[in-house]
Amino acid sequence: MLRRSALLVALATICGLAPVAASAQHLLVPMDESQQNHLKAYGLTYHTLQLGQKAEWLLNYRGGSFLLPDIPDLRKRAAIDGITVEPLDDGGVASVRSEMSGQNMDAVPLEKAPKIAVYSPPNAPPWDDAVTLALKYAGIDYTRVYDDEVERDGLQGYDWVHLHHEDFTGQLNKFAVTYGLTAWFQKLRADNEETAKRYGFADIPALKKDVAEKIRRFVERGGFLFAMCGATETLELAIAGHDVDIANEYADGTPVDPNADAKMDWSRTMAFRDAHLVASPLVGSMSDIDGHQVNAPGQRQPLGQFTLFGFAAKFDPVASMLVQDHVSTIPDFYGVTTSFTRKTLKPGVTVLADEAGAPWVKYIHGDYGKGSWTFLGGHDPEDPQHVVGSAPTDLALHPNSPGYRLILNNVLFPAAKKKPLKT
Amino acid sequence: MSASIVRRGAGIALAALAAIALPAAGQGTVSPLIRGMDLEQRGQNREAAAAFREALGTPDLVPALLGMERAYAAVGQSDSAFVVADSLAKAHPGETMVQIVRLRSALYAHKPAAAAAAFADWVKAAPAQIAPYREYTQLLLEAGRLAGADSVIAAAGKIPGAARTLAAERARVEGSRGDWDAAARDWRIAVENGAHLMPAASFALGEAGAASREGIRNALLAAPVSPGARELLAELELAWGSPSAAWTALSSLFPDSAASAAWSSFAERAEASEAWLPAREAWRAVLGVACEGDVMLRAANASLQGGDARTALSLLENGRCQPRSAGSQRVAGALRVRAYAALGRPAEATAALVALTLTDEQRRVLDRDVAWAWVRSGDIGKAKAMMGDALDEDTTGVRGWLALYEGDLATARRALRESGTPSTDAVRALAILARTRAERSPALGAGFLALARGDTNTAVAKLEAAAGELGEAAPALLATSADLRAAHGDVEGAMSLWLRIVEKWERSAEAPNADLALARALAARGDAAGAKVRAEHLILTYPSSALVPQARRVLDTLASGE
Repeated sequence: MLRRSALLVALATICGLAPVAASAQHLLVPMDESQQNHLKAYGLTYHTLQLGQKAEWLLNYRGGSFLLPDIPDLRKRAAIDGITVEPLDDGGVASVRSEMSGQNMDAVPLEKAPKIAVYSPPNAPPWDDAVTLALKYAGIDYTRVYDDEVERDGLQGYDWVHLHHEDFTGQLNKFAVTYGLTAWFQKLRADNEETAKRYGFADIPALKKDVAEKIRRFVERGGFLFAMCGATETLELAIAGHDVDIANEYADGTPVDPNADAKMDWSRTMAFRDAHLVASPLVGSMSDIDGHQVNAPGQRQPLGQFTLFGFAAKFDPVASMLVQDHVSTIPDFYGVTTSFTRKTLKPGVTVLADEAGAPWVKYIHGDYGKGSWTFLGGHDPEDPQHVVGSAPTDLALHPNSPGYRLILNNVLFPAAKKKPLKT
Repeated sequence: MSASIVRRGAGIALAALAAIALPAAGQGTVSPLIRGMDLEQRGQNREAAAAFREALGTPDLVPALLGMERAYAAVGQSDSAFVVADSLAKAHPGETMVQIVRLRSALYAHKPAAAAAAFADWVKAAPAQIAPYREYTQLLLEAGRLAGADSVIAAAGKIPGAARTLAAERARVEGSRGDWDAAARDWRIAVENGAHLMPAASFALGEAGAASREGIRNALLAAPVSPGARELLAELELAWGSPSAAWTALSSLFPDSAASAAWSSFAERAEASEAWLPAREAWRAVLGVACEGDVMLRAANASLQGGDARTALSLLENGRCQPRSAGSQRVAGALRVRAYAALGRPAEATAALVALTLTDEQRRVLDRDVAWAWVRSGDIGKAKAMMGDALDEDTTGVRGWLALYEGDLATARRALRESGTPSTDAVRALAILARTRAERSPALGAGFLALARGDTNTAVAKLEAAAGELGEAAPALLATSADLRAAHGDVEGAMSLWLRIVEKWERSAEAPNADLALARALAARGDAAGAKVRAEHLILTYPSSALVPQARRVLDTLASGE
C-alpha cells in the first residue's frame, strides 16, 4: 500500500510538470528538499493571490509548503518555471490536514498580494540588492521608490517596504574615504545633494533623517518593513539621532557631536538601544550594533553559520512564517552590517536566527505601533564576501537558496490573513 | 604577511652571505656569525638567534641582524627581533638595512604604533630619501593596510621623484579600491620605470572587471606611445581573450630591434592560443625589421592556419626573405601546395606537389589537401585520381565524403562511420544519413558538395530540395539548412525553417532545438513576447528535453530585462 501511494505521488509530481494532467482540486507546492525551485515557488504563490485566488501556507509542513487551487494558469506557470507541484484532491488535502493537526504545524490563509515598494537609488550603484534580485527572479511585482517618493507620499499605498544598503545617517556608507574619486560615488553624492536641496534640506544627512522618520511613521501606521545590510543599523541610528549631529564633517560640514552617544533618543527606535557611534570618518563601521565590523580594520569577525529558531506554528504564526525553510542552519554572509549584537537589542525583540555562542544575532523581528519590522544582517546570502563592484548574483544558479528564502518569506508574510493570536 | 617577510629577509640575507668568506678549517675560532648560520641550518633557531646577537657587535652587523630576524621569526619571537633592531637603529641611523629590519619586525610583531615611530625616525634621519617611504609602503601593502599605505605615499609627495618611484605602490592601492583608471595610469609609469614590474602590473590590472577595462585601455594607449605601456596592454588583452586588440596595442611601436623582440614574443603566444591572424600580423611586422626566411615561413604558416591563404601565397612567392636551407625550402614548398589548395587552385597545387621531394607520409597528407582542392573546384574525378590507390585504404573520411558528394549514400554511410576520428562535419553528415534508408540521393550529395565548395546559397537550396525527397530526414536537413542560413546572416530564412520544423515535425529530435533557436533569435531582435512564447512552448511541449534549462534561462533573461 505504501509503495502504491509513493508511486502515485511520484506520478503526480511528474504530471505536475505537464499541462495535460487531469485536474485535481488543489496543488501542493512542497518546500522541502523535493522542491526543484524554492524561490520561484514564492512567485507562483504570489501570482495565485494576484489572480484573486486564495492560498494557504502550511507552516512547518514539508519545509513550509503552499497549498494552491488547481487552475490551468498555475499548472502552466509551475511547469514553465520548473516548480515542483503535487496535485491533491480533497481527500489528499484532508490527509495533509490530519497529519498537521497532531504536530507543530498550522495552515495560514494567504489572501491578498501585498503591494511592494523597494527603496533603492534610481541610478544603479555598483552593488547588487538581494531583495530586488529575489523579487525579479521569483517574478514578483514591485515598485522602486527612493527619496522623492518617500518625501512626496510617505509610502502611502504600499503594504511592504524593503530597505537594503542605504545609509540613513547620510554619510553614504563612509565610502568617501575609499571611493570618493570614483565616478559612481560622485554621481551618487551629487544626486543625493540635489534631492536634499529640492526638498529644502541643508545636506544629505538632514534629508536621510527625514526619510528615516517617514519610514518609521509608515511602520507605526501599520506598514511592514523588511531591511537588510546597512539599512537596518543606519535607519535606527538616524531615528535615534534625529536631533543629534551624528554625521561627519565631510557629510554636513560639522564634526560629529562629541556627546552624540549621550544624546541619542532610543525610545523612538524599533530594534536597538544604547549603541555607541563610531565617529571616525576613516573607519567604515557606523556603531557597535554590528557584531562583525566588516569595515573596521582589526575588528572584523570571521563568518560562521546561523541557525533558524523553531517556533510553535499554532501559537507564533508570524515568527514561524519568517523562518520557514528547508534547512535550519545557513552559512553566514557579510554586509556593511552583518549581524546585531545582543547587548544592543531592545527587550521584546524576537530573535529569529542566531549563531550559537556568538555575541550577535542574525535575524530579528518585532512589532512597532500598528506595523511590524524584520531585520536580516548581511548583503547577499549567496555571495558571502560581496564587495563594491562585484557582479550581481545569478539566482538561476541558486534556485534552492535557503538564505534567499528568508527574504521571500517576508514578501508573503504581509499576505497572511491575521488570525487572533492564541498567546 | 609573516611568510613573505621571512622570504624577503632570506633573499637579502643570502645576497649578503655571498660576500662573507668562510674561514678555512683550522684557521682559528669560528665567528659568531658563521656559528649562527650553522645552527640555523641545523634548525636550532633559538641557539642561532643567540649567536647572531653576539655577532651584532662585530663588523658583520647587517648579515647578523638579518640572521637574527630569521631565527626569531622561525620560533615565533619577532617581537624580540624588534627590540634589538629598535635599539640598533638608534645607534646606526644611516644604515638602511637596520632601519628596514626595525620597520619589518615591528609590523611582524603586530606593533603598528612602533612601526609608525620607526618610520618617523627613519624619515627624520634621512629626510631627502625615498627609501623609508617605499619600504614602509610595501610593508603596509603586504599587510593589507591600504589606507596606511596611501597616507605614506601621500606623505612622500614632497620628495622629488616620489611620484615615479612609488608609482607601483600607488597603483596597488588604487587597484584595491577599484579605481582602475588611476591604477592603469600609475602602472604605466611603473613599467616605464622598470620593465621587471610588467608581470606584477599585468597580474594586478588583469583583475579588473569588464566594465573597467575601457579606462585601462585609454590610460595605456594614451599619447605618447610608450613601449612598456603597449606591451602591458597587449598582455592584458591576451589575458582578457582579445588577441586582435592585443596586436592593435603593439602594432604602433616604432619598428626597431626592441619592438621586433616584443612582436616575436607576442606572435609565439598568439600561436600557442591559436590566434592565427594576430600572429600573422606580428610575424609580418617582424619581417619588416629583420628579413629572415624562417620568420617568413612562420608568417605564411600563421596565415594559412588563420584561413588567409592569399597572404600566405603572397609571402611565399615574394622574392624577399626566402629561406636558404634545404629543410626550410621544403617547408616553403609544402606551404605553397597547401596555399594553392586552399585557394581552390588544384592544378597549380598538383604541379607544386610534383616538384617536391617528400616522404610517403608527407606526400599522403598533401595529396589529401590537393584532393580537397579538386573537390572544391567541383571535380570529383580528379579528386579521386589525386588520392589514387590510397583512396581504397583511406580511413580519414575522404572516401566517405567523395561518395556522399556523388550521392552514393550507402558507401558514404559505411566509409564515414569507419573513419578513425570523425570530424564535427562528419558527425553531422552521419546524423543525417542515419535518418534515411535511401541508398542514393543526388540532391543531398550536391548539397554537401556545395558546402565543401563554400557555396552556401546552393547548399541550402539543395539541402531543402533533398528534404522533399528524403521525408524521414527532412527535419534534420532543414535544421542544417537553418543553421547555415543563420550563420550567413539570413536570420529570416532560418526562422522560417525553424518554425516549419516545430509546426510540421513537432515530435522530431530537431523540434526542441528549433524552438530554442527561434526563442533566441526573437529575443535578439527585441521581440520579448515572441521569444517568451517559443521558450514556454519548448518547456511545456518537451518537458523532458535537455534544452528545458536553456529555455528557462531565456525566460529569466527576458524577465530581468537584460
